[in-house]
Amino acid sequence: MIVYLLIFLALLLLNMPIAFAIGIPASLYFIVEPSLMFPIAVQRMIAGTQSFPLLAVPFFILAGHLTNASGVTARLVDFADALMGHIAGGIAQVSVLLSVFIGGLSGSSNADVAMETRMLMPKMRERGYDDGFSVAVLAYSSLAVAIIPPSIGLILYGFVGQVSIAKLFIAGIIPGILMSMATMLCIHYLARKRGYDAARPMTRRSLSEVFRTFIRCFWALLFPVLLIVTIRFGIFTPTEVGAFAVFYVSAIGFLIHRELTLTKFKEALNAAVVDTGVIMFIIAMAAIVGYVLASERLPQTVALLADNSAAPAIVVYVLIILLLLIAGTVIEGSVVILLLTPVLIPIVQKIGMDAVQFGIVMAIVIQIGGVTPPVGVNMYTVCSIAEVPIVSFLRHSLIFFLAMMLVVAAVSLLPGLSLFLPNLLT
Amino acid sequence: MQRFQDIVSKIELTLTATLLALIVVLVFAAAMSRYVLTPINWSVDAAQALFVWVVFLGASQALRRRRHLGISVLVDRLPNNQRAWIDIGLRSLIAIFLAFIIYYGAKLCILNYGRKLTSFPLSYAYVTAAAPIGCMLMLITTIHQICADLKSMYAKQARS
Repeated sequence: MIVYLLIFLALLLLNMPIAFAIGIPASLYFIVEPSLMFPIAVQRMIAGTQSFPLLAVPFFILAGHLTNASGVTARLVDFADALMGHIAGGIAQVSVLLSVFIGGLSGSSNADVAMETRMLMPKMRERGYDDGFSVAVLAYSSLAVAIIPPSIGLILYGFVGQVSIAKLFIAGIIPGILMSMATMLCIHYLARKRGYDAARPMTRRSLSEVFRTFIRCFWALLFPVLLIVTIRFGIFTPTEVGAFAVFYVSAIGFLIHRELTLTKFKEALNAAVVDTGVIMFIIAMAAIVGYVLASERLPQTVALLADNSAAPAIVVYVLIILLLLIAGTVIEGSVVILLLTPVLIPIVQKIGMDAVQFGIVMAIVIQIGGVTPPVGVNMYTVCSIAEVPIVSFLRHSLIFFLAMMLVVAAVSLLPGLSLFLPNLLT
Repeated sequence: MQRFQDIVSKIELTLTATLLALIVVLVFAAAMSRYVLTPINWSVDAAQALFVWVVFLGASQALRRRRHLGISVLVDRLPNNQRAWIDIGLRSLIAIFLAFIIYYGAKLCILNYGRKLTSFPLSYAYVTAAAPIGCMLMLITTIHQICADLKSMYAKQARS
């Protein structure tokens, strides 16, 4: 077993595409083990994609690309600006608010953080914020996008861990908003301390202007409400909501905002095809590993190990969080979820934690990994678009990092934060 | 060769995008039909069968654009020449791996020929075939990329 793990790590470090770094040692296992037949590996690969819940992944990826092509973001910026633009550090707060709004439409933060950076970075510079502060705000505020439903990370967690995706979606609402509020408090503190926007006091926007900007993005803001209501009342499954989202966003883009063209629609489809190919090919390969792990009874062994260990539950739990944090900084988040979920769920259940609650914690920790070196995807995206060195990003991001870890601690220690809504609703 | 690859890529992308759109329509229609008309029970099965094609053809499309995720922190520190050799080594490994899947995937297709989809009078072999065919396209791309990389390396060496 160790040999295959070492081959996997060696391939990974040599920059082998992750899907192949997973697939090659797993198939090697099939060739070496006399009891296993190679056709089973191919069969697992195909079976790994034949799941109805997983269809939600390409749907929400496509809906996300269509949202960005439909002029939704610009309207949401206007609305957020009307609400909070006038206060100290206003544009930074707009970035947080925008992520909350976008979070209700989009399932992952990668595409949206790029869009937000392009739109808000120039405005932040205009207001004279430090570049490092601005990129830190953009990167950290985007984390909530992946926690507020819909969430591709939570779909994958639910799929691998056999946890209700509908429950996970609803459980993400409060923690996602909590993350945004924590970021807002940090921004408020920093903006006051550094005197951002102090030189030119701005007046609060009139109520009629707030209302006017709200109406312009009404349909985009309505979607998260529809999503929660339809899932809650069992009208649609999360996958069906994904298909609905594609139709809904297309209708907004073509008919209401009239910014979506046939060319843009095709581009969104093409981009979704490539994204789906990348993520689903990894899932197909991970399905081979899943078969190997199950036949070696690894999850049971790990659970037994945790059961027999003398370490107190809290130590085990902190170690898990650290492992996720480190894994999340090195490997892309969805891969961490695919590979570690089956091993970790039995352990946390032994500790007495709910699988839904742990899913939310895991999703948050992995998102944090996406904005920390060495391989923070969102961190790179923001810094390269804004043309700000990573060093100045890091210098300004410590307070936001601590705030997020505080949220992780809160969601871990207070089950109600994640479980109250799903328990109330079912 | 480059032109051949460009044409194949274009057909592949158009086909995959169309399939993805079709899957969205199928799932949405199935959901709506539960409330409006008589339920269409085959559409979800059909969507899943088509999805495996989106996955493997999409993976091929991603390979063409070198978009598959990897961790480049370590190799980025190496000199260009060494990095190129590692890349060629890894690509050769990928080629062997793909060849294995093509061979056994084709065998599996023949084995699965008698099996039918649950609610659809179609052989399961049409689902299985996505793996060997997708991997065949990826194998061609990989070999093409190895050749192109070798060629540009030799051209560089000849110049210096």
